[in-house]
Amino acid sequence: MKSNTSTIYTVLKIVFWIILIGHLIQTGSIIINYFISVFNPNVPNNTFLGDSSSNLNELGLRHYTSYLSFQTAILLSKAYMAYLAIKIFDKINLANPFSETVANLIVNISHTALGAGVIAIIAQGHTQWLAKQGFDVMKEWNGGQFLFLAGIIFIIAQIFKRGIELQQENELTI
Amino acid sequence: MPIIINLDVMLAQRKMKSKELAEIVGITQANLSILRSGKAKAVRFSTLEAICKALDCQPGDILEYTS
Repeated sequence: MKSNTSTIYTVLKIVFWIILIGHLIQTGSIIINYFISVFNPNVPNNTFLGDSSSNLNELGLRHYTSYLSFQTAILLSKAYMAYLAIKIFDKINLANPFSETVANLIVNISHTALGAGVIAIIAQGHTQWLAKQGFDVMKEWNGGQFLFLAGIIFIIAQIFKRGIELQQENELTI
Repeated sequence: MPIIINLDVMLAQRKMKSKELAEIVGITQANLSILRSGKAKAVRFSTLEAICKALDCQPGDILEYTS
């Protein structure tokens, strides 16, 4: 059983590392593509994400920048959450799992998800307007799902904090 | 904490060292220290039984309530 859990931990840690690196690469490509397209309008139409956001340049730098900023912010939020998850795997001690450090990391994930949800909802409003102007942009930002994730993780964080109290009480029970 | 553990008094009366008591009771010296310093949140009956057996005393000799 112990080796099973340990294997699952290792696999999950690798998965989160892949997610982190993947999102960082995506973010980097968006930023590089943005600067290239701003200074050199003759770039290919499709960005790394497959949408023709470089057409937004016709709409104006402001909307083009804000659209890509929203995408960058969401990707960085996801990368940060993956990073926090990796830190949890590093910090957690299965013999005494309930610690302040891990609880704070879980709360941070919840706050990051909340922030990502708010950004996604704002971005959705913006892109819906852009879509009405006739631009082919990403319309679904999954803001609601981020908020749902934030809520669930927040509840788990509160239960974890109660677990810390119980563990401390247990440790001080002779 | 309203409940005080008078282990030091009993240890002195029985001329026993805390290290010896910890070994007999089967707890670590660190845990015994927590007990003596009043930082313990709770004591198991099994631990209390072992302490009373080791010191040949009653629970009331070790536990004292102060308001």
